Amino acid sequence: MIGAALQVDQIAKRFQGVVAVSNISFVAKAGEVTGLIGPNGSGKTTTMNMISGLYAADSGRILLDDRELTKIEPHRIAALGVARTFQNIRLLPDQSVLSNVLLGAHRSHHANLAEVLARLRRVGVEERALNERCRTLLDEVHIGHLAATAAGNLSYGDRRRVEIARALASSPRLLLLDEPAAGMNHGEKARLADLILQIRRSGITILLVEHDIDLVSKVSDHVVVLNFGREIAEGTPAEVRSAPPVIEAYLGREDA
Amino acid sequence: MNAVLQFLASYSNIIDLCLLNSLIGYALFLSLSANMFSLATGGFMALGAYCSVYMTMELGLPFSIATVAGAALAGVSAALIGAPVLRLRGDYFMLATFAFTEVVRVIALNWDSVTGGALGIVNIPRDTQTWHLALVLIAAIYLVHTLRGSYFGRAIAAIKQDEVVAGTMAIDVFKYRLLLFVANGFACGAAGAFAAHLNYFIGPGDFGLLRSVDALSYPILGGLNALFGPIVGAVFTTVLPEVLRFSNQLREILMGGLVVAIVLYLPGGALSVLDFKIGRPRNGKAVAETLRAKP
Repeated sequence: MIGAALQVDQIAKRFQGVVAVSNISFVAKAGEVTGLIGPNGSGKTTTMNMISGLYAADSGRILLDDRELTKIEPHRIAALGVARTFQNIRLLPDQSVLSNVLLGAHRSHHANLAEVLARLRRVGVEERALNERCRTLLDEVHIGHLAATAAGNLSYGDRRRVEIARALASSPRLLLLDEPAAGMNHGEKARLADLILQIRRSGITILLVEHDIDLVSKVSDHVVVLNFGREIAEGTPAEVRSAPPVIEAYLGREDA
Repeated sequence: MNAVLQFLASYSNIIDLCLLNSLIGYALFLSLSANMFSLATGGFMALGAYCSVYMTMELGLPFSIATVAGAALAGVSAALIGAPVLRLRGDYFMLATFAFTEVVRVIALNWDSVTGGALGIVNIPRDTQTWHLALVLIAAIYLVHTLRGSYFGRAIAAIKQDEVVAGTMAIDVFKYRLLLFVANGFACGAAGAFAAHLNYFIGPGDFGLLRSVDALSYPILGGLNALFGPIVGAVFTTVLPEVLRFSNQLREILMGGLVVAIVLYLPGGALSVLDFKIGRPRNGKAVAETLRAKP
């Protein structure tokens, strides 16, 4: 199994007294797509930032299989096989799409500094092999023809794809997608759903933070719903959609 | 042929200075490529200079060993101050490195038995040869060129543009910064040793804030995206005062004016002119962002 299981156990985060996340627990099973949904400000992105190490959790534990991720630096978490995308796409705009994706393959390079400076043959061989792998990845997310374009010149949907390709280039065991459908039109969303299912088939565990309930229902095996930093429901997409607390959070109470 | 030799003989001083400053330019190129605006150059150069002079004059060791030792001392001190200071953000990092340069200067001023105090050290053997400088400069260019073309270069470019992203790509931002800073210190230390053995004299005033700011200007003026940017910037700032010698009073003003003009009209550095010719997009924006970005 390529994918790793993610276990989030009672994590909490406060920002100067404001509780962003309070005691959230859930499990993302290996090889499945877990949707993390909730209205604005419900703590989804904060949770994701704690998993990828950008924020330190105030309390609780996060486990990837049996490795504890809490309190270690983002680059170490990434090296353990956790890749992510960003809600506000963060590519290097003046570099080519291919260089952006190659950045994801950073941890796949094994040549050390001395070997690089000596320009050993195998350094070039390794570089070409990873180049090839990244091109294949670009083909898989259907933007192979854009490899040489500067990332900043791409359309919104394509930039999302570059971010996903960059995350995949690190051969992750867990992929965190932070609102990948934000700002996408209907057609782009449908293609994104296909892409997510395609990644799922490769065995990578996916945690999907998303606003769009339709997209989440379409691709998720399991859904966790947050509101005001707390977990209010959990289950299959169908179960969650009919759960009263979820309906209340999204639509308001009937008697209100 | 004769004319060329004559030219070289009369300008050898300037040529040596250009080579030396280019070397310093590459040292700063390394740190700036990861957004480290270091003002420690003067401090590192002083360490390299005093250490190497002590070894050649007091201990009678060969110049080559003294230079390597001076560079190593500066490199080690870069590691020591880098470990705590690199965690600081932008302007604080700059202040901390400036403080380091000042501390070294004050020590040099007061440690009379080793540094000669305010009077400095005179009659230093002129061991630095032009080919030494040229050789080390070529090595520095090779190093920078090879790094830029490797995955290390990609990682460094990512750190410069977005260190959060770099971190989530499994790049150890702190380790890269520390390595670059140590390399910067090593090269500045070597430059200090060369400078000391070029001028017969060193004093505490030679390695202060002015030196550190000048050093920053070489790669910035030449262009941070161009391999030969530091050379262009260093040669420009070294030769220009000589060219402007005809008007002693206006010299500094003209110099300042030209620097401002380059920063205003060629924000990507002097070498970004080439980008026009080849039809590549201008990278001025990238450098302007660098100047604004906080590590």
